[in-house]
Amino acid sequence: MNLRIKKNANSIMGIVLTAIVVIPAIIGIFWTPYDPETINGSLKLAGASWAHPFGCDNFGRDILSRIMLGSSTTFLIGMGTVIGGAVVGTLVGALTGFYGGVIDEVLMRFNDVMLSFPSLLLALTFVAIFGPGKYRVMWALAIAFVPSFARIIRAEFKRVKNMDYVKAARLSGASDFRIMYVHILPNTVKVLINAVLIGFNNAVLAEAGLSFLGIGVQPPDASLGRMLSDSQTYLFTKPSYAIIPGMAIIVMVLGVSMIGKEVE
Amino acid sequence: MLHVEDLNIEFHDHIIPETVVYDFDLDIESGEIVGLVGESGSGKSMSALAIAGLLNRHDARKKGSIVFEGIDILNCPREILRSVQGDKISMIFQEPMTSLNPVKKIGWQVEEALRIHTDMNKEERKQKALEMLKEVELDDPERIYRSYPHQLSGGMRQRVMIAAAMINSPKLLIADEPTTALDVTVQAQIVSLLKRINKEKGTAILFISHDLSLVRQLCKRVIVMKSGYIVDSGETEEIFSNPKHEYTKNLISSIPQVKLD
Repeated sequence: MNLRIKKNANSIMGIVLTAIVVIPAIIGIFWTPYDPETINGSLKLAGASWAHPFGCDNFGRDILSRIMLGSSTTFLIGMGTVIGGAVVGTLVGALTGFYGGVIDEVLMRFNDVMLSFPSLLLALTFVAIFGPGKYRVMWALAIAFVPSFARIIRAEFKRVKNMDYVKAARLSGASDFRIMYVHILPNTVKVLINAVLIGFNNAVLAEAGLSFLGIGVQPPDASLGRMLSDSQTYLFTKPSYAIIPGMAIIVMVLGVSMIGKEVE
Repeated sequence: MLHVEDLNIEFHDHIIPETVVYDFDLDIESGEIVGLVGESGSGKSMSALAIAGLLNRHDARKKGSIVFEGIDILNCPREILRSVQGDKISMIFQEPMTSLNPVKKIGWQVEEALRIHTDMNKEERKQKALEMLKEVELDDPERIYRSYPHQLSGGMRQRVMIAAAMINSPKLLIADEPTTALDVTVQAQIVSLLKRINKEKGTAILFISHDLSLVRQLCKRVIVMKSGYIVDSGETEEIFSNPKHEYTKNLISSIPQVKLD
C-alpha cells in the first residue's frame, strides 16, 4: 500500500497549518527568544512591540517564548498519548482479534467498561490518582486512549485474519507472532494512521481541557491549555493573551485533521 | 506417504453440532495426482484444510487419523505441524485475488517459506525466488519480483501462488480449486504447469475441483464426494467409463458436450 498524500489544496493547507504551529514548537524545545520563565515586573501585561511581538503576560513573561514552549509541551503530550495509546491498543487489539475466545471476552469486556466513560473523564480519574504534572497527564491520557485503539485494531485483525493470504502464511509455517505482526499488521496501517491522527487531535484538546481546569500541566511549565487558563482573568484587559494560545490550538488541530482527511 | 482414515469433521460453533465430513479415507503415494471431486458444500475443501493442518482447533472436532510421513497431523503439537507446513505440505487456494497479501511485494511473499524453513541469506533467497518465478513460466521474473499483487493479472497471481507453494519442493501440494476463478485458456495453462511440476519434481498433488473434464486430464485416481460422504473412488478412467454410484453417473452425464450440428 502506498501512503501517498494527494497533492491538492486540502492537504497543502493541512501541512501549512500544522507547520505554522509545529515548527515554532520544535524550535521552542531548544531555543526561545527569551527565557519563558523569567518574571519581569516592568513588562507586566505589556502590549505588542518589536522586542515582544505578542506582548507579555501578567508576570511580564514574553508570550511568544511561552507559546513556543507551550506548543511543544502540548505537541509532545499529544504525541506521547497517541503513541502510548496506539502501541498498547495495538497489542491488545491484535491479541483479542487474532485469538478470540476467552482472552477476547475478558479483555474486551474490560475494554467496554473503559469505553463507557468519556475519555476525558477517564483521564481526569487517572490524574486524580497519579497527581497533576506534564508526564503524569501524558500517562493518564495514554491509558484513557487505549480502549478506542484496541477496539479499532481488533476489528481490523478480525477482518484480515480470515483472508486467504493469512491462511497461506499459516501454511508456510509462520508462527502466530509472525502472522500477527508481519502479515496482518501492515494491512491495518491505513486504519491505524487515521486513528492516530484523530487521536492526536483529541489528545491535544484533552490536554488543553485538563490544563484549563488546573489539573494538567502545572506552573511554571507552559502549555497551551495552561496559558488559556492563566489568561482567563485578563480576558477583557488583554484579550490577545487568550486569543493567541487559543488560535495555536485551533490551527494545530485543524491542520492535523486536514492531513488526516487526505491520507488514504 | 499420506494416509487418511475415518476422518470425521464436526463443527461446534453453533448449539447443534454439524458434521461436514463423514468417514473420509484417502491414500496418496508420492508423485501421484489424486482428484477430489464434488459439488459445493460436499466437504472437499474441509477435508483438504484438515489434511493441511489448517482447521481451527477451537471450533472443529475431528475424529480419525491423518498421518503424513509418520506425523499425526491432527494431534501433533503446533511446532511440529509448523515445521511440516510450507516445507513438506503446501497449498494453493481458489481465489488468486485474495490469496496474496496486498501490502507486500511478490518477491517477499514467494520467499516467506524459505525465510521460515531455511537459513539462506537474502541473496540466496532472491536467487531461489527468481528461479521459481521463472519455473512457473512467468515472463520477466525480475519485474514480477518487485511488483505488488494488484499489478498482476489473476493468472499471473495464481502462478505466483504456485511458485510460493513450491519453493521448498514440498512432497504434497494441495490445490483447492486452483483454476475455478480463471478463464479457460489460463486454466489449461495452469493445469499443464501442475502436470509438469508433478513430473519434474515428483510432488504429489491433491487436486480439488468440480470440473470433471480437468480432473480427467490431470488425475490418475479420483474420489467423488457428496454431502460429506465419499460416494465413489478409483482409477479415473474406470470411474468415467463405469461409474458405480448414481451420483457419479449424473455428474458425468452432466458434463457439457459441444455438438456442432
